[in-house]
Amino acid sequence: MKKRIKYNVMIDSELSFFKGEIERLLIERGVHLDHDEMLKDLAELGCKVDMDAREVKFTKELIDKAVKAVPEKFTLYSPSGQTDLVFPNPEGKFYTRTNTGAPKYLDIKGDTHYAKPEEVEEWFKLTNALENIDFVALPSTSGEYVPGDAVDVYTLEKALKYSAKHIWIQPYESANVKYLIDMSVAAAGGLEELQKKPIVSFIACSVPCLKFTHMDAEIMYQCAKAGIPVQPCSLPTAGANVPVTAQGTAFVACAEVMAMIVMLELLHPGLPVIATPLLFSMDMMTTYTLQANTEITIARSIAMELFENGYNIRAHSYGSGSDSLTLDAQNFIERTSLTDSMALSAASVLGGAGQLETAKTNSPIQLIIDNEIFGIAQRLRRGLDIDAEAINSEEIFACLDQDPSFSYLLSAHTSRHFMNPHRPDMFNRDGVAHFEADGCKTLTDKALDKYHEIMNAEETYVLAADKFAEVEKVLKLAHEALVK
Amino acid sequence: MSKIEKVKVLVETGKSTMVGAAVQEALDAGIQPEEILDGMIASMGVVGEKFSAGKLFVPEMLMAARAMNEGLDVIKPLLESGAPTTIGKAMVGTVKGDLHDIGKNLVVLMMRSVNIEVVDLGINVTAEQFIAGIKEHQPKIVGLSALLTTTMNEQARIIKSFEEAGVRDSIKVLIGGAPITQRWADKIGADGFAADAAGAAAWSKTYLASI
Repeated sequence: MKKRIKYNVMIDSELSFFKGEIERLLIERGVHLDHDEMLKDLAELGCKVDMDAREVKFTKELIDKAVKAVPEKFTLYSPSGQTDLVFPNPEGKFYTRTNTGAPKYLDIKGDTHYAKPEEVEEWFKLTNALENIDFVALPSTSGEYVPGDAVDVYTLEKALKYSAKHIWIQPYESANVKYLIDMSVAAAGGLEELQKKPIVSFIACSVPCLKFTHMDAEIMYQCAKAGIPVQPCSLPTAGANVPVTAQGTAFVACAEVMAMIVMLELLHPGLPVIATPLLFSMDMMTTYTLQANTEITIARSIAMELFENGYNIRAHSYGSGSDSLTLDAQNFIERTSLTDSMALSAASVLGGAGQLETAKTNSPIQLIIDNEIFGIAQRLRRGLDIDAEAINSEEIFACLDQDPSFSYLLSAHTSRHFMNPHRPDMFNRDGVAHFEADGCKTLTDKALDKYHEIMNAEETYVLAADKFAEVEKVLKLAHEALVK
Repeated sequence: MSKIEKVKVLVETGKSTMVGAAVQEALDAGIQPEEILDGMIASMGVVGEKFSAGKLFVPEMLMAARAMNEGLDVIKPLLESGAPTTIGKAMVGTVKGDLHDIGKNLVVLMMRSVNIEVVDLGINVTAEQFIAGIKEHQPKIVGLSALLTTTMNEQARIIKSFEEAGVRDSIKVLIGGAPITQRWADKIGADGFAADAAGAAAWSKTYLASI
C-alpha cells in the first residue's frame, strides 16, 4: 500500500516552473510592507529594502536560508493537553479546523443572525466533543454584543476559557495584537510555557497583490519576537484582485504566503509555520465571491503541492464549506466534493468546518455533519492494503466456502476484520421498517439529536480558574486601551 | 446599417477600439452629437437589461461601458458647454479601519457603466474625509463600504458625523459590504442598502433619475 492515497495536479516540470516563478517574483518584484520596524530588521538581515516605498525584495540565498530554517517537525498544543497536533501527522492523516471570522450564526431554530457571545461558547463546547475537529478558529462575535473595537479580544477570552483544542487567532486591529498575545501567555501560564507548548497560533494575511498592511505585518513581527507559530494566509479572489485564472490565483497566493514564511524565518529561524493559501473566485456574472468554484478547488491542490512537495513545508487550505446559504443539496455537494478533493491532495490541514455562505455564516448543525464528512475523508485518504491477509487467500484457496456449513459471517477472517469498514455515526444503515420506526429521521435530524446530546453533557473543558483570572486581567487592560 | 446603428452595435458589443472612428463617421455624416449620445445611452440601457436578466457577464458590461467612454471622448468637446454627459454624481469609499476594496471597486465600475460620475475616495476613509469630499464634489449619493463586523460600526459613526456637519440632508447614503444587511441599514439610518455592486448601480440610477 502507498502510505496514503494522494494525487498530484502538477507534473515535476510544472512544479519546478511554479517554484521558479514564485521565487523570481519575490526576488524581482518583492512585496510592499507597511511596517517600518520590521523593514529595518529585514534590511539588517540582508533583504533589499526601500524604506520610502516600503518595499522589500529577497535574494535567492535568503529564500533558501529561510526555507531551510522551517522546522520539519513541530507540535501545536492543545489547552487540555488531550489533542496535541503533531506535524507531520504520524498516521498520514490531515488535521481539521473550524471556520474563522464568520459574523453570522445559523442557529438550530433556523434563524441566521449576527453571532452572540453565548453562541461562541456553544461553538467551543461542540468542537471539544467532535472527534474529527482538531483545532478551532474564532467566530466573529457581533459588535452589537461586545465592543466593536475589541471583537477579537473578547472572542479570544471565550476561546481560552472554553476550548480544549488548539486555537488559531485572527486579529482585527494592529493595536489588539499585543493583547491577544498577552492573553494567550496568561492562559498558558507564562511566555516560556507558551513558547514551549504553543496552545495558540496566529493568522497573518496578505492583501493581494503582494502587500502587507501594518496590522498583518505587526502580527508577524510580534509572533516572530514571541516565538508563537504563524499560519500565514493569502485570500485572493480570482478576477477581482488577482488574475482570473485559477492558476494565476494560486501563483499570487503562494508567492504571498512564501514571502511571509521567508520573513518569519529570517526574523525567527525555526518558527513553526503552516502555509495557508485560501483561494476564492469572483463569479463573472454576479460579482459574488465564491469559495466552491471547481477550478479554485484544483488551484488549492496546486498550492498544497507547491509547499508540501516543493518545499516540505506543511500546508493548509479550505477543506470544507459552501457558497450555499443553507443546508441544501448544493451545500452538501460542494462541501463533500471539496473535502474529498483536499483529503486526497498534499494538504496537512483542511479548514472551514461548519461554514456556509462562503465562510460568512457558522452553523452548529453543519459543524456536526462536517465532523462526519471528515471521518469519511480520513478513511478515504488511508487507502487499502493489498496482501494475502487482506484478500483472504487462506480461506479462499482452502475452498472453505464449498462447505455448505461455512458462512463468511462466522469465518475467522471476518472475526479479524468486521470492524474495519468505516461506519458514519449518523448515516442511515438500515431498511425501511427501522427507518420508519425511528421517526424517519434525516441526517440533519440526527445532527440535531447529536447537538442536544453534546450541549446537555455536563462534562466540558474549562480553563483553570487561576489562569483565567490572569486572562481577565489582560482583557481589562485591553478594554481600557482599545475601546473608544 | 445606419451610421448611428453602427455606433450602437459597437457600444453594445464592447468594441472600444472601433467606437471612436464610428462616432467620427457619424459626425462627419451630419448626425448631431446629442443624437449620438442618446444612441449610446440607449445601447447601455440594452446592455444593462441583458446584464440584469443574467444574459451578460460583468466583463462584457464593463467593456461596453469602456466603448461608450471612447465614443464620449469624441463628442464631449462638441456638446453644448455645461451639458451633462452623466446622470449624476456619487462618491464612494471604504470606511476607516477597513482596507478591503474589491466590493468598492466593483461598485465604482458598475456605477460608471450606468453613466454615473463617481468620485472614488479609496480605502480607510475617515468621516472627516467623507465630509470634505461632500463639500468639494457635491455628490448626490455617498456610498460607504465595510467588510468586517468591526468596521461596520464605522458606517453608523460616519452617518452621525454627516448629521453633525450639516451635510446629511444634501445626500443619500448607500451602504454595502459582506456583513451588511437591510436590517443594519435601517438601524443606522442609511437611505439604502445594496447586496452587490450591480444592486448599488441600479439603486443609484433609479434615485438619480427620480430627482
